[in-house]
Amino acid sequence: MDHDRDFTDFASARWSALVRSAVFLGCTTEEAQDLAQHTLLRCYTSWRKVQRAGDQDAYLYRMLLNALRDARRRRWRNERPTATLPDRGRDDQTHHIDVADAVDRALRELSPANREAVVLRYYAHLSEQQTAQVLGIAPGTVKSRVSRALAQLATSTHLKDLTEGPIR
Amino acid sequence: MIDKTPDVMQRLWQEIPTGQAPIAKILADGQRLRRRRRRAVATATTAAVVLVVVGGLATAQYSVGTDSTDGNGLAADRPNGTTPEPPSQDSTEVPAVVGLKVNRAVRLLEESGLVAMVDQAACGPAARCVDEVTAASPEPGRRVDIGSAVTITASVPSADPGGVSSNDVALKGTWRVSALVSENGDSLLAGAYADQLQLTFDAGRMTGTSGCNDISAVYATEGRDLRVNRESMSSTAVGCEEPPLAARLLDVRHISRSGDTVYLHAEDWMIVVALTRG
Repeated sequence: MDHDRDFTDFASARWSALVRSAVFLGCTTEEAQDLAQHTLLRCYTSWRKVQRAGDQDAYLYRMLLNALRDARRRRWRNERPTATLPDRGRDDQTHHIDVADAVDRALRELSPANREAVVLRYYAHLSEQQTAQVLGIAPGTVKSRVSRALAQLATSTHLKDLTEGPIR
Repeated sequence: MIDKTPDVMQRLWQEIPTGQAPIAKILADGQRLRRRRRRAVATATTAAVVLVVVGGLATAQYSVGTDSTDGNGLAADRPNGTTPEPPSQDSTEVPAVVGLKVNRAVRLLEESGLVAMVDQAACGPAARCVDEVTAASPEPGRRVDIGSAVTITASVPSADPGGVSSNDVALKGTWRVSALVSENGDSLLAGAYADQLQLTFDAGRMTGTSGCNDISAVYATEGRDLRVNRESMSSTAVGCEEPPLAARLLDVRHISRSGDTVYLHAEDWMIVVALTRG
């Protein structure tokens, strides 16, 4: 079906960026994957609306932010306890965890509004106009928020420590 | 001005594990959600259609039962299968009667659904009641004065003919026959008998005098209906000329009341007899 094929292409191309954006917005990797899946599910059920939208990426990230805010309000109530844990081996994640923790701390120092602006603008690679559309603010406001966020990150001690040490 | 994010963040961004996009699961869940949504819409639509159809049927049934119209074009509020009721007082106009003969005027008023009465005291001998109506001053009270000699009072039959729950109770007692009207609408009360005809109703039995003979019959009332039993009608047999009261009473089908006067009507609600308290 063309409908499903179009959606599959659309979702596959955006999956990674959605997950990473969710991580940078404060989710764990698993939460970020759940959030991205939930966002794409909503996108699929409203696919015609998404297709009609002038800017599909802006529409998609707007859905992601809404889902994230909803999830935070509901404290991830969709998470269900299970008797058996998934049995999967992992590589040593220590170095990665250190970096992730430092980045998370640095991002947490930003205000939520500045954090959303910088993540969408610099990591999800949305334009100023798209970012403004997603956040429902003026492009000028996007610019000032992003500028403040970048200045804050540049002086963040958490990140400075990392850049001084080796990062594998 | 800084226009880039720290390198370490860019590197971490690239290192974040994202896994494979669970497209198949999203498609399956999405299709299930869509099916559920379609079912919900279909159920709601069906329910709405059923409600509309049932509501329409109920309304149609109610309309058939209550909103039929009488032959005179006036809405009547009655259950199915019952006798048509007189129109309401508020919705009936008194038609123009100037230039008509009195009897024709009376008939016209009756055809308009009004109960028309010629005041016998003013009318005098029946012959004068065929005079032409030369002047009329219709008033809101549905009273039409014709010259100085004849007064026609047009009124609507009372919504509750007896003014009480039972016409038996309303009829009970002795009445003077103040008007007796032929099938053509002519007065049958000659001047000599104007005050002599009487009827007494009591618990289903009617007795009275039709001038020089006494009459007796069994009657029955139900709601606004009144029937005088033909088989039970009996009369003395004094040979004399008298108004055909007994014969006209057999045509009575309905009863109504306006003020102190009780009217006995034929099937088409035309007045047959007017009774006033003797």
